[in-house]
Amino acid sequence: MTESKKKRDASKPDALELIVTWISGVLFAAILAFLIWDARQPSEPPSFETSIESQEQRGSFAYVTVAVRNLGDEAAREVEVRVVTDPAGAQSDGHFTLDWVPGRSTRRGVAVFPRSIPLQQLRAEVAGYAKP
Amino acid sequence: MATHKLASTDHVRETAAAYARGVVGGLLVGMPTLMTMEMWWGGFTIPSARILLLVIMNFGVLLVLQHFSGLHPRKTPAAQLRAAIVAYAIGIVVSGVILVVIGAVRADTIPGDILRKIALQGVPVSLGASIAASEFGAEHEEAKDRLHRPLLFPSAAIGVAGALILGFTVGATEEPMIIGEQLAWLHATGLVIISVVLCLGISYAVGRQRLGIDPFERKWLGFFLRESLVTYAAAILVAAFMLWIFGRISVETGLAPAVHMVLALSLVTVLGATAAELILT
Repeated sequence: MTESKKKRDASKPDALELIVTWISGVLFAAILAFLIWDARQPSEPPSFETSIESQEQRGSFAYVTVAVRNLGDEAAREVEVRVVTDPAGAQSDGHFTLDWVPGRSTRRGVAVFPRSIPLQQLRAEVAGYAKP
Repeated sequence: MATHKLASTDHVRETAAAYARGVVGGLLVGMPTLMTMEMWWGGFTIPSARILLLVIMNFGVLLVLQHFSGLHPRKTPAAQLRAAIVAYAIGIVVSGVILVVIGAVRADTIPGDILRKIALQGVPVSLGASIAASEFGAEHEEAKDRLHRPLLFPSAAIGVAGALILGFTVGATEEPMIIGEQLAWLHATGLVIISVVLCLGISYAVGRQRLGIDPFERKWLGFFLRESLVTYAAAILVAAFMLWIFGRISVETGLAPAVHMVLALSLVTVLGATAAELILT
């Protein structure tokens, strides 16, 4: 084998390099395509939907699980959730804070009550959040 | 024919070893950021356009790193381009696996968030994969040769890469912002002095070790000062860029707090920018 042919062979990619490069190229292109597509989408500010999921009696306290869904695209930080008894309305009986609720995502929290309350009398509402 | 087949098997083995080194190198550099919660949050707080800009800028840095160190020992322009693509793909795959294993990506994480997290975390991992050859003592003669030429552009380019590598470990966190907000002008001046002294000191050591020159010699003094200044400026720009990417500074940030935050992070990026040449040597 001549020196120049040896050099040419050494600079040519081997089979593994070619296969991995093709797969990598597809991955890279897919990530770029997603980011370009996502960057062009309109971004809605956070808006919330809450639902009381369950209540569990442990000892003398009732633990109420609440699901908070962010219907917007932007994330919300330090989301304050109050769980109030429906007829009393204004009186806040339980509350918790969620660190983050990312856009289009659901996070859960638990409010603790000193007594059991029928689920249909409970209402959860978002009191406020911080902009990241 | 038999010799040709043997050589081809050797090449495949060499490539497999290079990629394995890349994965470990990526983990070495990327692990601190993979375990940083602000980086996970980046998937839903950083707009895609900024992540895209970071990925594009990172690809340029990966190309530079393939030139001077790299993932693969083959050093033709086409091979370096292939290595840069593979390095970022290693970043994507390694980040994806680790994020799942540590529970930062869960069943209820939305696909967009997952992809943004992976695109973001793939950056520091790919940088680590691209200096794998130097990390594991598998440098290529040609790459070493390129590194030992006293030229300003390669120094600045390696500086940007080093600033990004080290800057990521701190830049994503809230600490530079908190430090910046607490600084008074006296602290800020102290930070600048320390950064400049570090920059000159490490550049001096690099000059002696990498280039084999005496930076205080009349012939080299100008180059030494120019190189230090350019590296320092590159480190400052990288710090500002990272703070902007992570949403710590914007047009709404006051000038003094913004400058203070940049100075706080630049202490790290200056270290990375100047020491990068020692890592790659």
